[in-house]
Amino acid sequence: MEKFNIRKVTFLRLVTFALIIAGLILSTNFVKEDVSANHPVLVEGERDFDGDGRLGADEDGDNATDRVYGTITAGLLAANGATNANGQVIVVTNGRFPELIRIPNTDAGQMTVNGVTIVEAAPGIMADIDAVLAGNANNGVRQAAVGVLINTDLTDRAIILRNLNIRNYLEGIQVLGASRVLIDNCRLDSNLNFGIRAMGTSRVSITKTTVQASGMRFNPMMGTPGPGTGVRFEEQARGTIVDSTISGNTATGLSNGSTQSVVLSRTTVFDNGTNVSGTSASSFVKLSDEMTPEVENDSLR
Amino acid sequence: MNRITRFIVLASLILAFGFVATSWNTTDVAANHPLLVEGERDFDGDGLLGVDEDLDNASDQVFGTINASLGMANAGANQNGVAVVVTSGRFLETVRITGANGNVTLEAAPGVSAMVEAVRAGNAGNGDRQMRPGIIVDAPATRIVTIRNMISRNWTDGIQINGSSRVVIDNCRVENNTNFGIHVTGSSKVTISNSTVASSGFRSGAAPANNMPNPGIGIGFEGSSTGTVAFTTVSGSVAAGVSNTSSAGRKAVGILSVNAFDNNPNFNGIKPAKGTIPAVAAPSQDDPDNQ
Repeated sequence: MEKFNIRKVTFLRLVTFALIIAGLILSTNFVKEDVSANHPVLVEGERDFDGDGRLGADEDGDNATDRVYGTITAGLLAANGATNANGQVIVVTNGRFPELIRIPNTDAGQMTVNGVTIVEAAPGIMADIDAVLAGNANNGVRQAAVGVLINTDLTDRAIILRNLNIRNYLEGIQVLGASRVLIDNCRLDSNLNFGIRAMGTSRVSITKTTVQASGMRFNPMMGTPGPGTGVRFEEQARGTIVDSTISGNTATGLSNGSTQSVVLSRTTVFDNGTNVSGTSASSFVKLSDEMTPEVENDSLR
Repeated sequence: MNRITRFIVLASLILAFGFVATSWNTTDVAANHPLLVEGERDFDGDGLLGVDEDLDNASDQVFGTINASLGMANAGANQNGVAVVVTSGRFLETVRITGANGNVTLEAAPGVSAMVEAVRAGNAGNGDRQMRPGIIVDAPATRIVTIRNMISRNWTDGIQINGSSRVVIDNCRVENNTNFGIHVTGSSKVTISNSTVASSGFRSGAAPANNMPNPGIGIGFEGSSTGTVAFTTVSGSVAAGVSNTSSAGRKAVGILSVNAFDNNPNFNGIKPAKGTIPAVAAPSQDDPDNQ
């Protein structure tokens, strides 16, 4: 009988322990599920937004409840209640972000884009994603890399970049796979090889965006551009370019090497090595006649 | 060689290494890096503004005047980088952009009002500034200069572009400049978009300022310059709104969706493209709608 009582107590203890463990697992799952929803998070630039006195990495790691971060990269990852590549990352104070933006960030273990992902600066805010910050130890590494790299084969989720400056990288924005991307109201300059490069079967819409000075980066000597093209479509990528300016690029302003057409409208293409080039007669489709500036400099006519 | 001598030699080597390393760091500073410029409100919370902010240190990379941010001292851009105005303010200075060492961008952050302004009530330098251009660009053809979201007012030329400069002017407002709003000369190439050029040739003020328009053109292309003007408003100029006298001929200047109105004339030497708002005839007394 005593032996049975010992077993019963042990059994009850085991049940209690198991229930506690199960509760913990369930609560963890609920938290995870909540985190993975398409929620907005805020990112501070070089001015404190939430008044906690923290900036940069200190803000990234402070807690999982404020949903305020100090780097864009942390805002896109999962830790501390961030978007986990499924939500909106909004920069809310002016600042320079010497980062490499990866969507998804496979180097950090984020293997896929989990939903619609938006990176934007709030209206009235300047977010400068820049390879160079004077005196920063990693300037060289960043200048040899792509600034914003988007690569997913999932076509049921869009990536939106809005109101960002992207500068001084090997390529400003590179879009791979079957990614669906909107680049809205962005400014790209001084990227060595390409301002924007779309490859694979991706689809890229570019609106109200300026792409200039691709191929011109002085560090302090001028880098060797390869080739220094403003906007480039390759492989089977397709897209639209509307209400934008492409100028002062070393090589081609707008180059379509894709098998697909690119739609172009109301866009100034001026003062590039060659303003527009395409691999076939159907490379470009006009939405309207308004796009044609009169300047005779290989403008699309 | 005794121990003391060895120690001195070793110390000298360490000092020399440190000096070289510091020099390398200086070279790094010359890269095309971004800088912040405060207007009339403190951004970094150090309580400094203007020249005091220019001179405080070389590590914050925050400045109080535009010219200091473009210079070399205190880790400025050294004419190779981006100067971003991050709080609103009036800048009583002629800005000189040479692009001597690389691409230069001068911009105000979205939502920030950055006025390169010749006049501030009671300021001793008003008369002198009103006889000069506000922003002068004279850069090599291998550089791109960008001026974005800036305001230039009350100068002889709001923005003057010389030599073989290649310039992008985006989302700027240029007004009340006596001679030209935007003056493009030499063999420069200029892309103008989303901007407003108003009241060129109209400036009022007390002596010693000479307010006579000469000639009072909104956007003028001269020399052998070329360019495009798109999605821009040019209005209320004493002389022509957009004028092209470039030796490159009539096709030197491309026009796309430009609202040119109330200039004299609206276009000179330019064939407006489709989408451009044409000249509107003055109201006729015979028109019953005007009676």
